[in-house]
Amino acid sequence: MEKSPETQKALAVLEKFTSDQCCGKCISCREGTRQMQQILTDSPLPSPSEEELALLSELGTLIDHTARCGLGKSIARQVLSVLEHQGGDERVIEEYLPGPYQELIFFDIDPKRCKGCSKCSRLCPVHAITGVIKQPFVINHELCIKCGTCMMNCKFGAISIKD
Amino acid sequence: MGSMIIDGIRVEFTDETNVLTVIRKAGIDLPTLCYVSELSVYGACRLCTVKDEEGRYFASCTVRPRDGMNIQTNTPELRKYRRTLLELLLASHDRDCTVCNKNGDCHLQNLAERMGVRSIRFKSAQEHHDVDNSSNCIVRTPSKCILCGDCVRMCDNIQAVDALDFAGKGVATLVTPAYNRRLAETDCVGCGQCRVVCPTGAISIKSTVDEVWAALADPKNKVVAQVAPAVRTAIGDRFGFPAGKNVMNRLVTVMHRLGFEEVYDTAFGADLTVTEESRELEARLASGEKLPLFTSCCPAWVRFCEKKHPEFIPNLSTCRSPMQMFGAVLRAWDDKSPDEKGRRLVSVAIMPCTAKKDEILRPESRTNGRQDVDYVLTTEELIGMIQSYGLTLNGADKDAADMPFGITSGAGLIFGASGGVTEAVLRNFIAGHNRQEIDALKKVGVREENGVREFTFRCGDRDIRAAVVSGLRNADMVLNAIREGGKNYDFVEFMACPGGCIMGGGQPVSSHGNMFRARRDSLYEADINMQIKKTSENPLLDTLYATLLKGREHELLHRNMTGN
Repeated sequence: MEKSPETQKALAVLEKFTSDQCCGKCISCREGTRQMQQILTDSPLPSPSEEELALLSELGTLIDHTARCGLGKSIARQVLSVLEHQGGDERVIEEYLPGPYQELIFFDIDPKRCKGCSKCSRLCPVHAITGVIKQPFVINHELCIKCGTCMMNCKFGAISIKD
Repeated sequence: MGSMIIDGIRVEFTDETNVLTVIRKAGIDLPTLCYVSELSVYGACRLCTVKDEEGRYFASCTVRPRDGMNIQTNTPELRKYRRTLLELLLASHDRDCTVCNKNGDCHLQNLAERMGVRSIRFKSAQEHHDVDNSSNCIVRTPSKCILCGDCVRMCDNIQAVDALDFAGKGVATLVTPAYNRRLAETDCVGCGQCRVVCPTGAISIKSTVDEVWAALADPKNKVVAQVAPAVRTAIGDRFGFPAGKNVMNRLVTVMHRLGFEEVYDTAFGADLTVTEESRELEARLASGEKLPLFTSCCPAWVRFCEKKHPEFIPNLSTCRSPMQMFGAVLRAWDDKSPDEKGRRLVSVAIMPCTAKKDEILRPESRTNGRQDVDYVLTTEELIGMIQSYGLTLNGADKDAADMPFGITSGAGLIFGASGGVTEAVLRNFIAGHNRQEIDALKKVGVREENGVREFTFRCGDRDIRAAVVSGLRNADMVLNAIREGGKNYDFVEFMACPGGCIMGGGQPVSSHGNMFRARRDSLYEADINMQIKKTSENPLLDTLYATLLKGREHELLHRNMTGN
């Protein structure tokens, strides 16, 4: 059965990651992404069953919490978020996954909306966001890996994608 | 300095370099697969991940302790992560555990058991890789490798050999010699320290147990064995004796029951080595040539010198190692008084060392075209033989090593610990049996624990400048210092394995932490109990030099580089 667009996209990202981007050092990222890819490949359905999704989610959280660097963590989060949005807004796929547009987009903090709570800064896997509490924070675009963690977690909707 | 809260309990810390050490000090043996305290921190296995009060996760081995930290080590999710991590590793592991040489002794297996892994929910991602059998000392089985990198860091950080490293990336990462060469084609010196730290069966000792069993079973053979000093203080551990317990006398009985007709003590070979090496040092000091004199009893060190610092080859002592001297003497003895039943002499050496397996095959390890020692078995392999026969050391009677080579000196025994060769050689420079001077020698620094120790020992009217080096990274540093003229010595003892032969690559790896002190102290204890302290006091040597060795010292006791 043909895979859903979301599954296809997730698979493509995982394939690129395991074969090309992952350094192979830490177990959670190396073996975890390999198994995520395996589960999606082996799934007979267009999109993963609830059981499969539970296992994928378990692996994603494991990688998120124990991987050594932000690269592995962000891949796991991206794959999970796209799979959880099966059949949802097309934009989700493009927004949360690095793909052909990745080079062209960047994340930005709206200084009017940002309350300076520092949540994004604490969650950023590559420490690209800095600022002073209660004042607007800024993203260092040189460091940003465009994982979207900040945008997903901002309570004030202050972070958005710019072309 | 400071304190932190671990699972609700306040724990003080002082100079611990990472949180993991503090946690372990607090009595929680957090599992790890890639952490070895002597090596640099790698942080790949993630099993030691903990959670702080802000909900952040971090690998405790990679973070410095900070005052006021509050961490949890065993939340339900952390426990689940550890189990899942092991499941993931096992999914890509060659799980032929029941026939693996590491079965029952494998750290991965042990952790899976401890963490309660009972099934693996993931599809096998095992990849086939060829076994590398090329080395004479160790075997690499890459499909059992979990990429913890312990061997890579051991080979580089501690041994400066750099024979192994990571290649590839992502799921294709491999630990391998450069350019996918086989181990025999690299600078590997066979020290076996990689095998000591390998948590799984990915690096193992190249076994000759089957060949020895076959030799023992053949009635045309007379199989004799020599046992190195370091073996006796390491083997008891596996049979329930206290750490470092000297079990030589029980070992002799058990080996007789295995079928070894005579069991000799390599300490006698060491006595010969010390005698020859003292003479050599005397001669070089007199002529002032080829100084400093470097010891040559450690085959891994000799290989290292040849491969990495060939300009120092002339400094190496021409003496054979104790094992090789003994091997040559045994052959000569057998030639002189052949077995009355006409059986062939098969000479086996029980060693703490994997590199010895290579040493016996070197061209200069032959006399009259014949290999002096037929087989080397490591302590580990001998344990396997004893167990497979159904014997134990505990129940064994005690017996002394066999004559005619059973009389040894204390100097020969302490060879097993780093510093022992130097102390043994310098004892011969002490006039007479001067108890004060023999005691004084113990305290000049030769028995310290650091990997490089230097001291000057005054004997008679001259000072001997000596250094004791163990670990090949240390050896590398010392050789560079000598070359650059920064250091001047008369005598330098080099041992490849940190701590000397007692910590050799063929020794059993204990799960009870570092056995160095227990094994070393046990050898020094054995020396205390010997009436003969100096090799020059060994009456057997006088007899041997007057008979068997007369006129053949060079042929039997020194390295014959031509191979004839």
